[in-house]
Amino acid sequence: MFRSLFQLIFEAIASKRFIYIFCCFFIFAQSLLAQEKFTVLKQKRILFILDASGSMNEKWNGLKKWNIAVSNLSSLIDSFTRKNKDVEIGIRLLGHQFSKEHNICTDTKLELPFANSHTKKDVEMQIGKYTPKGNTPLAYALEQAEKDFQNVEQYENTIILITDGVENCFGMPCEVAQKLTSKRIVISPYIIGLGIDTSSFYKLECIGKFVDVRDKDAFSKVVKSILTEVSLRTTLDIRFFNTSKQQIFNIPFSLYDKRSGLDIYNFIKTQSPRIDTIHLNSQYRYRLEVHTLPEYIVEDLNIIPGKHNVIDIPLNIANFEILNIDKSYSNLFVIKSDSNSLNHFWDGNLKPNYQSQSSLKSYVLSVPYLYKDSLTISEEAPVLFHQPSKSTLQLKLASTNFQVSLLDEQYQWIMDVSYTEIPQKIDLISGNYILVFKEKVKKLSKTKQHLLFLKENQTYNYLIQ
Amino acid sequence: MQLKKAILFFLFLILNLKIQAQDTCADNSEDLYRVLFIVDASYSMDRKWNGQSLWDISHKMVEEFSFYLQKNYNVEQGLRVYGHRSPLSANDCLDSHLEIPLGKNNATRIVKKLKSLSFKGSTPLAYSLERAADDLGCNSHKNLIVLITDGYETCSQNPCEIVRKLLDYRISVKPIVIGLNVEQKDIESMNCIGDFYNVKNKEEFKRDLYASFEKVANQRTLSVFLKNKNKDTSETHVPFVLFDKKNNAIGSFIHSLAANAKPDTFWIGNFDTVSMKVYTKPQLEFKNIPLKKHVHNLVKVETPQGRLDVWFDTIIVNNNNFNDRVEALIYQKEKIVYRSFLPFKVDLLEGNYTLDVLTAPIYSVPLTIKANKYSSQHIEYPASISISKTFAMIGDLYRYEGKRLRKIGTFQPNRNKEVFYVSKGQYKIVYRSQKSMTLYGSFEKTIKVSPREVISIVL
Repeated sequence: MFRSLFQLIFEAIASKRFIYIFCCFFIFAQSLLAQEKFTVLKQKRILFILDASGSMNEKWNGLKKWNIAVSNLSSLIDSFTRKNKDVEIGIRLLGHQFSKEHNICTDTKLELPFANSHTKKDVEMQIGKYTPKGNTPLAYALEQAEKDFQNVEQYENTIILITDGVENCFGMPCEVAQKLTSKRIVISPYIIGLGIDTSSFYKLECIGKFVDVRDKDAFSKVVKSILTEVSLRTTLDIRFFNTSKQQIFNIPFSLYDKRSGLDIYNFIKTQSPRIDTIHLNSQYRYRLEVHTLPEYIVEDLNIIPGKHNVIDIPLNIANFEILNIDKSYSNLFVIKSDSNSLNHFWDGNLKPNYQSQSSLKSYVLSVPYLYKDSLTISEEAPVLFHQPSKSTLQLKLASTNFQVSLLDEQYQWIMDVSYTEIPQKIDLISGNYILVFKEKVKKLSKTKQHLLFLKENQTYNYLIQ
Repeated sequence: MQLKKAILFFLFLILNLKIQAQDTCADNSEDLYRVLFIVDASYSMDRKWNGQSLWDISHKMVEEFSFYLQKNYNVEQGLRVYGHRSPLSANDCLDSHLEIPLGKNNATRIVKKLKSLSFKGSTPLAYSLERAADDLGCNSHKNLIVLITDGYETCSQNPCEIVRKLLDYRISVKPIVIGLNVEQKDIESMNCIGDFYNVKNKEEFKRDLYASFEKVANQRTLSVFLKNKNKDTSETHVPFVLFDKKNNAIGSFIHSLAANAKPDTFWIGNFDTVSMKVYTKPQLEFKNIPLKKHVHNLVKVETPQGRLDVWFDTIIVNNNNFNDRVEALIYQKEKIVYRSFLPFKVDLLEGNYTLDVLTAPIYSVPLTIKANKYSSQHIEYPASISISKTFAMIGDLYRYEGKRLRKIGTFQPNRNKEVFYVSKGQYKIVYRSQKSMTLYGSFEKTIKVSPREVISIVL
């Protein structure tokens, strides 16, 4: 992970990608209703959380880490804000107000509020006036950062944590970071380590993307590349094609953030001839799930940050069709796969989009139920069911004491009829049936049998006595 | 609560055993025949054939036949006579008495008794048949009634009706009726009693009496014992059907053992073998069961059942509780062996099953049923999500499984309302206007569902 991030960063620098000027534009939902909301492309906010604990007084080539950090940040921010008016930057410090002897674990403050116009001077004035001296309450600082991000929904928020040590206030930075991510307050944070000893890497890697630097130049490079990455605009088109290479629409899909596992976007592909462009955050790795049955999954979408990405998904989907459908009739059917990866029931009227597959078992929940196995469904060969013909049997039971079973003409058991639902109205597939019943009385009684000949679309009444 | 149920069930088992332990059958040998003679001693028996009164002919015939049976069969015999105590003028319709109760080596006693009686009174035929049920008492053997009568029911009861009831309650009784030149108008009511022979003289009487008995004796009888592991009594309330070799159904039966621990006896005609379908869940089939002649066949089959109780807590959410019925399926391998609405109780054969509750997604649990054991399966109370659409839209309902969305329902384009039965959990609706031209026209709604909640959403 460590290495791949570096590669990414260097690639980004090498390719000298444009930093897009991020104009705020609106995409209107083409809706019938005025109250349907429209989506706004988000402004960006970057919060630096800078360690000002005592250890920042350590020196690299004769310069204090603190001074290296402040001077680099102030010039980088200065040049960045000149070009990126759509990005607001703020700085929170930790460990800068109380010296270590006080052992204060709540020592953190937003010292530079968000603005898109901070200059070198602003940063030097607001931040440079402090000297590092205190504890390292990383978790607490991250937690407090939540308050810095007002109107969370309207922004894409990023945290860049710069520290030379690990938590020393018994907080749980990993959990706090996870919480921030799951609340969608920030996108996974970046952590820049300033010469952190290797044994502590794992403690920081759980927070977000972690990179450790050992000198002034590396620090400057990394900050620059992160800023670039955040500011770059990444877009995506997902297109679905059937087996004859025609584009298909109305396909629901979700994009999940790989890191947090959260569903970031849930969309239904439109029939629009316009391009359905999704605006991505370049800091995410995305997992795509197309909601067919079962899902079509791309574990890690190959997204190039700062580019317009087009991803074509070949689908082979089909639906079960019921012919001559009578909607007043129960058309429930259960579909199972051999491996049991699929086990669901659908109203036969619906088209849930099955992925092409074989070895399916289907149960039409008529009375009696119908069973088919070894079904193969695909776009080229959708599976057709003929709706079974229906008769209605109305049973009346003379008393609560009857035990009644319904058999088919081959004497296969179909169902028991209980007194609790009277009169028992049963929709049956037309045909011949046998009722076997007996009165449950104290003395022995004779078992009786009655044959039923049920013709299509007819209702039969029978009194059990 | 579960413990209470288990205790109740256990108590029920004990009580059941106690009741069924009483058995009125003294002799349990398989080849035993039990014959009750019902002899008419009404006034009309004074009619004569070749100078001999019908009464004399009858009791001589019974005498001879009774000794014949005693010599050739393992038999218990008894005697009921009617019309012999009160004169005709008294019109005593209760004049029917069990003179000799059923027992071994009774021939001499029966003959002596008959000799001591004289004919004089009414013909309470129906009443006699009614009482015969108690005379025979034991239901698990080959019970026969040999009724000798000249036919005039004088007590204005309908013998057919009585016999129908008798057969309803004592299905193992086989009545043979020897009619002594019964008038044409009475034949119909005699026919309905049992195997009916209308004899016109002594020779026919003798011939038909012996022949009819042989015919019945040749029929196979069997009792079916549905064995549930260590229990001594047969399973009850399980229907079964017997088939002949050509797979034609011989008859359908449901055991109800009542006070008698023995399963019912069935007379099924002259079949060497039968096959049988037993409607446990799942149903069982037994092929080519051999049946012996002259012997009562006890067919024992293993039907080890246990009871499954699928239940949910009665939760009151508010005044809008979910009350719709949700179906559940029980599979064994690929077959659906039982379907029912929740909650339910069912007896299943010992084995492994899968219970699928038809909420979306299907809630699936493996089940193991053990013989004579009570298994309880708790189900979270289902809930519903109903969605009213105010414009033409497409959309789907998803359930969160961990953080992943799993599609569990799809909107039907031409419906104004969708109802989904679900279980507790976190759900999401993703929908978009049919006419929407951009992805960003897709909207979503997250819903948290508690058990038995009815959630209504307007989109």
